Amino acid sequence: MAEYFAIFKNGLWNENPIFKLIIGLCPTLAVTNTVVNGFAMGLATGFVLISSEIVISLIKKFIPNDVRIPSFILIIVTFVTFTDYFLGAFFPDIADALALFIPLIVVNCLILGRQEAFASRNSTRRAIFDAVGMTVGFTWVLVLLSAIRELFGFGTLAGIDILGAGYTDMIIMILPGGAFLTLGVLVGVLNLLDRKVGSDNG
Amino acid sequence: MAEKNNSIGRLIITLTVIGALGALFLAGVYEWTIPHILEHEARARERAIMEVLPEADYYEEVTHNDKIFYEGYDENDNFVGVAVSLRGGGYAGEIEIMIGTDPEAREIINIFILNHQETPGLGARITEEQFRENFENAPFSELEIVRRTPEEPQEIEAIAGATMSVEAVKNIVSRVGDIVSEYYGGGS
Amino acid sequence: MQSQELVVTSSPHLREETSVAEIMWTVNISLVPVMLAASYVFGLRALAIIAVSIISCSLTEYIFLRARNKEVTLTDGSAVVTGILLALTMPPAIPLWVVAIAAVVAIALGKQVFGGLGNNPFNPALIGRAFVTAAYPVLITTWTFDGQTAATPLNLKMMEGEITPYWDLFIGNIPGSLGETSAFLILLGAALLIYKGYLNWRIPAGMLTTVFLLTWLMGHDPVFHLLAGSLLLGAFYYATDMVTTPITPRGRWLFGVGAGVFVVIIRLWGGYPEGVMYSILLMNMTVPIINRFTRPRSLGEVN
Repeated sequence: MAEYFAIFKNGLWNENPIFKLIIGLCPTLAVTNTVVNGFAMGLATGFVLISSEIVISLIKKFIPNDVRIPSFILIIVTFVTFTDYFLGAFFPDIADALALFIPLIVVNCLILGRQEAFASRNSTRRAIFDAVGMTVGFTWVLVLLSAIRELFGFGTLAGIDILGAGYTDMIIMILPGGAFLTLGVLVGVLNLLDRKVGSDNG
Repeated sequence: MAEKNNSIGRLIITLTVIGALGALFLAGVYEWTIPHILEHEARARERAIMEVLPEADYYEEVTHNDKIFYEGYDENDNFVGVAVSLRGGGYAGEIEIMIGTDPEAREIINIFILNHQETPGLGARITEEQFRENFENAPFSELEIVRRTPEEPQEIEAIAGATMSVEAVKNIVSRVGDIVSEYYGGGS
Repeated sequence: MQSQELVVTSSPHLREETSVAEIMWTVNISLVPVMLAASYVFGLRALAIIAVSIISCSLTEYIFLRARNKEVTLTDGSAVVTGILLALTMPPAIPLWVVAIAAVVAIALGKQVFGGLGNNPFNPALIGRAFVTAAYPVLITTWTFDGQTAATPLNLKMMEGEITPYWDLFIGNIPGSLGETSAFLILLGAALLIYKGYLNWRIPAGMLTTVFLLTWLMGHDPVFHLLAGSLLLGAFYYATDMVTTPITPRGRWLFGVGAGVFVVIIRLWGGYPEGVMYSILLMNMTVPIINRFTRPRSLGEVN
């Protein structure tokens, strides 16, 4: 069990897709201007990641090496399209807010990257732990990033007014430029923390 | 990963099988979700039409030359106006607007932004009541943007920092007069 | 610990007698007339903006240098230069907290994250100004004059096609940012720097000539475009920052001409009335490439 837990924990920090691997940045930068959007994007990406890791780890023996990437993409596309229709049908508000970025999950390199690096070489059970770990790791960073951006950009958190009516919205935080700046500063701060903690341990 | 047996036939079969299974699955998903999606779209459109034709009790969809018009009627079946949805380029993407008009008075009744991708807090303010009020009773002619409180009916008050978005909405709405007059000859 | 007896350094080995501090404080002094003019035209509020900007810049610099365990070099005057240059880009009615935010961003994100003085690719003052332009687009474009809302000369030209008289532009009796009022006093300060040899004249020469010629060719009033907005201030003070501009003479010409082209493009066809800030920031990006391609060939070098 400890082995599976280690796989899960990897995604949270040591191999966190955004902070450590710096992959999957397209949705990270585009939709994280409110906490609800960030969280929804985390879950949507997570659903696609978990489903496709399960399927690919199950059928990995039948996929010839030469067409593994097209096969992965076909499987990922299937789940992304499902997510797109599902959100459109049952969560139209979230579908409107995320709009174009749901279909774009297909090209999120986090998803293809994990199939190639993990699901296609490991047992289904290990793949599930990897996918869940990556999902939680991806989602918490998206939520943190969007919380900072929403707080400064709109003065609210998850739609609840925090900074009061007198607050002047910092428009740049809602724009892509604000996403780059916030992400850059966050990666810097977290790596600094990492180094501090690391040097204390060692 | 199967290392051997990478014959062309095997590659084709693998991709075909995966593609076919995916398509089959998605066909089912489509059948299941599409009624809900269409229902949401219809409801959004209906809300927009009722918003721009406030006196209407119900509306009828009429097609003239592939263009859809929504004719509004009150409870006594009197014609109260016609709404069309027009789209055009905004600052960050396409803007789609439902525009309610009174063809007899040659006036715009109200507008409602159906879709847009303008900057939140700036261009996105085109959806606010305060901005949309500018278009109430605006005439069927080229509208004008002004940087003060509007005095004439064709004047639209600009939003600070969102010149491009306001310009886009103005251009889209300015087209409605010609389109509506063509089928609902004003004044006759 | 470093050895005291033997210091090995890489080239260049020729050292300039002038110190960073001397240059920076001369720049500050040359800006005094412009600052005085700002406080005369816009009142004491201008001085408050300048003070907040300098204090915030210095404080941020201090905190970062301490946090990075570096020698605190506030007396070199570089943070003060950034503070003054930033304040001069601000409209007079700007809330003081916006100035403070701009100052923190200028020093923190514009300078210190890259490693401090000498390592920043972009002009820090303009980074601060660009940040608040995107963050508070309404506040940063609210211009006042004599306590009334007023349009700047470039705004007037863009919206109404109106040209402000040259004499008003020259002496500075116009609405605008703190530093874009008097063309005369900017030239006076710049003359001091050129006399002392601290200002590479090729960049402003390239930039101003390009703007003059291009606007003239496009059928606009070239003298108006030269005097209005922040072109003179930008050309002499922001586009000549030693850290963020090319080091070769040919490179400086290229930099100036490029910035001039961007100014004209933004002013005539862009969504903004003024483009000096973005033109200089855009050209800052090209400096490494310009330096590389305009490097003089070594004696005897064969291609």
